[in-house]
Amino acid sequence: MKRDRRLTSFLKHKLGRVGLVCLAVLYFGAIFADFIAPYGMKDSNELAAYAAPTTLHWIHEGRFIGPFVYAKRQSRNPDTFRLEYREDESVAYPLRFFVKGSPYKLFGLINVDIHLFGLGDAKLIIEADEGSGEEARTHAVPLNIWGGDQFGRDVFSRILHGSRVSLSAGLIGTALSVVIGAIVGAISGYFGGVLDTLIQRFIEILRSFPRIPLWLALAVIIPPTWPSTYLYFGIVIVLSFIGWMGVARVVRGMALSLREKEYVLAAKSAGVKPFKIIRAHIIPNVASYLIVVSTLSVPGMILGESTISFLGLGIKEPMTSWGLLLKQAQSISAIQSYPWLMLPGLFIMIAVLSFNFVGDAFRDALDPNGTVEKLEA
Amino acid sequence: MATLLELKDSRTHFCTFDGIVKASDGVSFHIDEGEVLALVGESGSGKSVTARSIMGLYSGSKIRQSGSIVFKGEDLSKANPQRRRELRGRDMGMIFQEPMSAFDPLSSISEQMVEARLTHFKESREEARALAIESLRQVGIPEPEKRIDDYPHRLSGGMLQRVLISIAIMNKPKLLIADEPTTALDVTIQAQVLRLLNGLRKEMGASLLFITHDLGVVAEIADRVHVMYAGKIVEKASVRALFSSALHPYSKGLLDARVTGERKGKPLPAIPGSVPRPSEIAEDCCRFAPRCPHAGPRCLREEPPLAAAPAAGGPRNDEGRELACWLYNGGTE
Amino acid sequence: MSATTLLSGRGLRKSFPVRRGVLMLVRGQLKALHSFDFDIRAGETLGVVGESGCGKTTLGRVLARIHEGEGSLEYTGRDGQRYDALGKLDPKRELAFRRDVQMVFQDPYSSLDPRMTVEKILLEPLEAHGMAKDKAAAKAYLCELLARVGLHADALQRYPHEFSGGQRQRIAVARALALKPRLIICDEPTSALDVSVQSQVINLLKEIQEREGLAYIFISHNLDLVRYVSDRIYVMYLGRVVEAGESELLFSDPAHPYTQALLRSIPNWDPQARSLLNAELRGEAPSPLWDPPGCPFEPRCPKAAARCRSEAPAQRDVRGRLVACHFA
Repeated sequence: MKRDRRLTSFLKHKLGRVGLVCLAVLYFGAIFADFIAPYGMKDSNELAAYAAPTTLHWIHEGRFIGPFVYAKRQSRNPDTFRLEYREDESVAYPLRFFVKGSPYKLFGLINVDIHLFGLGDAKLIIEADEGSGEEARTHAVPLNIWGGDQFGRDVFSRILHGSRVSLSAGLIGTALSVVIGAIVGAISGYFGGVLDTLIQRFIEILRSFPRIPLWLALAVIIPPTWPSTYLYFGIVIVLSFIGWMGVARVVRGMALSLREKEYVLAAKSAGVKPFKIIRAHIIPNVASYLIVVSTLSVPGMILGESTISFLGLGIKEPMTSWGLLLKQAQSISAIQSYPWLMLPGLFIMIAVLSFNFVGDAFRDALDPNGTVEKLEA
Repeated sequence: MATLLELKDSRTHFCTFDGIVKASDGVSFHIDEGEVLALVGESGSGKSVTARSIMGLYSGSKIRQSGSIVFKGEDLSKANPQRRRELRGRDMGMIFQEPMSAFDPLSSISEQMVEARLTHFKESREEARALAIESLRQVGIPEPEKRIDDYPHRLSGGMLQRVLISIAIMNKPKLLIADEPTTALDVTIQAQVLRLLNGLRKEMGASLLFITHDLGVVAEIADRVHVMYAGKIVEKASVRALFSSALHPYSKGLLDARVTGERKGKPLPAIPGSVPRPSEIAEDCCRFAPRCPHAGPRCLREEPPLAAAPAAGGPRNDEGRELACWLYNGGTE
Repeated sequence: MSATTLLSGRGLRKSFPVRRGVLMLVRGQLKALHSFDFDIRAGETLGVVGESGCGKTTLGRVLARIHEGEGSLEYTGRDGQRYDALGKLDPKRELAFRRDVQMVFQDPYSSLDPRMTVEKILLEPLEAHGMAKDKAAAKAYLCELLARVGLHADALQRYPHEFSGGQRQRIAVARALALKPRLIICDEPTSALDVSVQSQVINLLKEIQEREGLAYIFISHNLDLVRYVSDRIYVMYLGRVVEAGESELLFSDPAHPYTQALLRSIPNWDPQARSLLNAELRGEAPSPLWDPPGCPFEPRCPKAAARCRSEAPAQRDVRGRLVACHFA
């Protein structure tokens, strides 16, 4: 009955529902990124360097033939030396579903090469410049629904691949910091005394450092020669190294009051051992706080990972994350000429807002007094 | 004596996740001028809800109220919120159970008292403060000139309860509502507070609606007693009649449940079962029937109306005695 | 004395450091319990009565080894061995003591963990003592326990919030009984309950005592209740015992002015007499931080003299009971 009440209260939260749907879509995208993205993480196509989003057409030469694209012809503007594209309307390349593309491992296990959509092996013949002596080349026709980046990689695909790192770093980082924070906080609050004072002073000192320099300092420790997966876990650990302290402080406060609760005294006077009391009474009774604080902390973690990667100390190419993707949109001129490079930022925003909405909804449902503060990551 | 307050079929229902909770469900009674009426009942009997609905403390879409509350000839259930606010604190004063939580911990007693006065009367702060000091003196606060600038946490529970009383009487209300005013206090302080309340009430000629679960306190202060159970009044009697011979099985049970030294060595008479939760109250039957030793088939079939006690059986000389029990109204068969 | 003395305390003390200011330095000691002497025999009920802040709850918690007290607390184990149960005990004795001395708390709403089923709640003390190794036997034992406190076995799978206050207190009693203790400390076991349910719980406690020969230390502010349940009573004021003796003697002929005042403050359920409105004790209980050199009751006492302020009255035998008053 109680559970129903919480569920009802959660579902009543409109923004919370919106957030939940957004998150479901984002995580679905992250899980099936290889399948949904038409290109692999490392695939590039020189025809797509800084290419504007490909336009989807329906009518070719006055006839409706379903969704298709035109290939783009690249040329350099003689005045600005910028790459310019114009559509070549002679051939229509139909958009196909469940096409073969670059191979990947589904869930890291099964070898598959089917992608949700793409142009298949549509080829474009590029005639060599007259007099250069080169032969005409055939090239795959790029499909960049959200444009291409500097190296001709598909932004849409990269955002999907990057979401894996960004979204999971948020989750794992939060989980790690909540677990550490809950354990340290419960021990500190339950035992009190000198141990508590030491832990609290330690936390206060660490927390008094400005956050970004501390991240950077810690990120520098990670050897850049590490393979990208190690690097990824390194970043997550750096993030949670700071994140756990907020949880620990609040859990400690709750443990301080819980240890005076009569049911804890009862357990104590029955001879139950301290760690058993912490496990059986303290942790379950801070659980709803932990759920709320977890959801509210994921955004901080996502932003943290983005910040570190943006500053070049996090995830390295060719692996990617939203923060790293944004790095390409650093200069005004890039943003002006290729605004689609900003799209990863939009995703960061959506993810952060969604988590906040869901967290607020959780808070309303589980902690009606609003005592939970956001955890600083 | 003139009637000061009259409730007719007053109901307060709350819409909650568990459905509609009928906290008070058809309560009718009246208080005469200068009289002390006690509402007695256990948790969930609806006694506090009734008191708060008289004060007009309930509003909002989750609360449904019906019935009439006539105060000095004016039907409050039809009055607008502005009018309710005017009456509250000026013509009706309320004293709460937990003195600590009835105060704002961040402002001094003087600020809170002056505020309470100036809400209703146009006068200077100095005048209001002087009156507040006088009022504190009346309730027996030592050195009220100094104490008035204290913050609530500086005073003990008993002292705070006195301050709360002094705020309630400051505007000389005609009706004082005291909701379990001594429950949170120690016995020696309880005696002091009861004596104080009784003295002040007499002095001001105000009526007192006293809400409690403690029959011992009722015996000390009330003129008439209404016993409530699960949102309804089950017995109305004068305090003497109730203590000399309670008629309703629930009132009897409450009186019998008194722990005394004389009972030592013998088991205490107890009412079986437990007080029903507001969301679990059975309807269309006597609400006490599941715990009643005399319950018959009729009690489970029909809800007994509150009716004048019959002439036969029980001591007479008690006007206005009413009972909601089939035992005294045609039998339980 | 026929029955063996179970627990006897001499000079039991407990003070809490008072921390103030930004640095939370210890600025004083709150002496919650000042030198408390008592003896309790097997199967006996000892009442401790006093107003809030008199130290009765602290006493209960010192006895249950929840707070660490000072002084001496001699316990006679099941094997007849006597030892001081204060301070650090060797693990075996610690377990034995915790098994023999159990506690029932005031508020059945906060003494049962809301996140545990009744089964887990009752199993907890058994597990702590390694007595739940055989799951089936343990479960059967829990059902029997519930039956002893008047609850149905299907309560095991439910959570505390599904029960009424009285039922919860029954669960708390069952938990205290689980380890087959010799002494249960009841700290205000009925004051959070509805009037009509209080007597049920008291009857249950009495019934269990008769059946199992338990001793109770019954802590309460309710004088009538303490009188009803106790063989002997200790009246406390500001951490000290002001009067102690057989309960009927104390009630029929109170010797200490505070006991007298307390008795006069009990409503006597007689609307004709209205005795409460006439009798009154002046003033309020002092703050537990106050540690007077003389009698703590002096500021409120009708008999107070100059001597009371400077000299603390010693406990002495007056008409068959102990009283700490110069004038009793």
